[in-house]
Amino acid sequence: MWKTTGTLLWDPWRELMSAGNGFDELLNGLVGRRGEFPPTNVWMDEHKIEFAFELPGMKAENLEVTAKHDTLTIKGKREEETVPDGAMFLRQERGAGYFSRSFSLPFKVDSERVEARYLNGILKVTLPKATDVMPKKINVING
Amino acid sequence: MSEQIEKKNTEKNDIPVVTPKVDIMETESIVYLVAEMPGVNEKNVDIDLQGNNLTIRGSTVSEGGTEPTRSEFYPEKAYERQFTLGNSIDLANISANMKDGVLRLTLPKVKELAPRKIEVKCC
Repeated sequence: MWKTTGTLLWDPWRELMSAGNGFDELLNGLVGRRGEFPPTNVWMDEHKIEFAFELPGMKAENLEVTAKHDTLTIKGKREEETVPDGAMFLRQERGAGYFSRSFSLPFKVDSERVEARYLNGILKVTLPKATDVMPKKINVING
Repeated sequence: MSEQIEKKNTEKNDIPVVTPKVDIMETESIVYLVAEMPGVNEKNVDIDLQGNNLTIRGSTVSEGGTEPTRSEFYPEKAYERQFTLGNSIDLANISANMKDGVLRLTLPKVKELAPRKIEVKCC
């Protein structure tokens, strides 16, 4: 119902609304949605399945991507923000620490050709379908 | 032509606007603001200061240029959040850095004036 929209004017409700968002996240955390990190988008076509994970502020070497049988697992560690000497947090919404998330894949993938790339805080993983499950066109021989 | 522009604006307005998560830290001399904007590169981030109102914006959509800045399959998304700065921020010396979808702003405080003794002269 409340939607944050783009506006140039200062609106005192905005901060209140964003505080509400934080509360929702807290509630969601309490009812057991902790496993849903990182936020993930998944696309699929007849050749491949692709994942985009929102992981801002990571190091590529701290990310581990494993594709085994029909499961994709990503694991990682996000380091805490370096706090300047004597600094005090006024607000802390970002998290740090270890995470792990697994997905069942809808088909067998060619694990040799899986690609993972980290750019601008997004981890992109592309998993091509295994050739033996790809649809194969069979030529009909005349005669 | 005008129709095309109108259409483009409508499309742009349909992009979901997300409030970025932030950490704000303060020392005696500096305020640090760290904002998460996954999918945004340094070219598509915008920091706007009007009076004491600081607005940070980012977009995963390329604004011109030939190089695509987002993945074909990462959805278009815009980030926006506003903050009111205290009077003690040195507005001229704010610096920003964008890396791995994280915007880091350094907001130095105005150095407090040393107490000054005022001599009272007679006549």
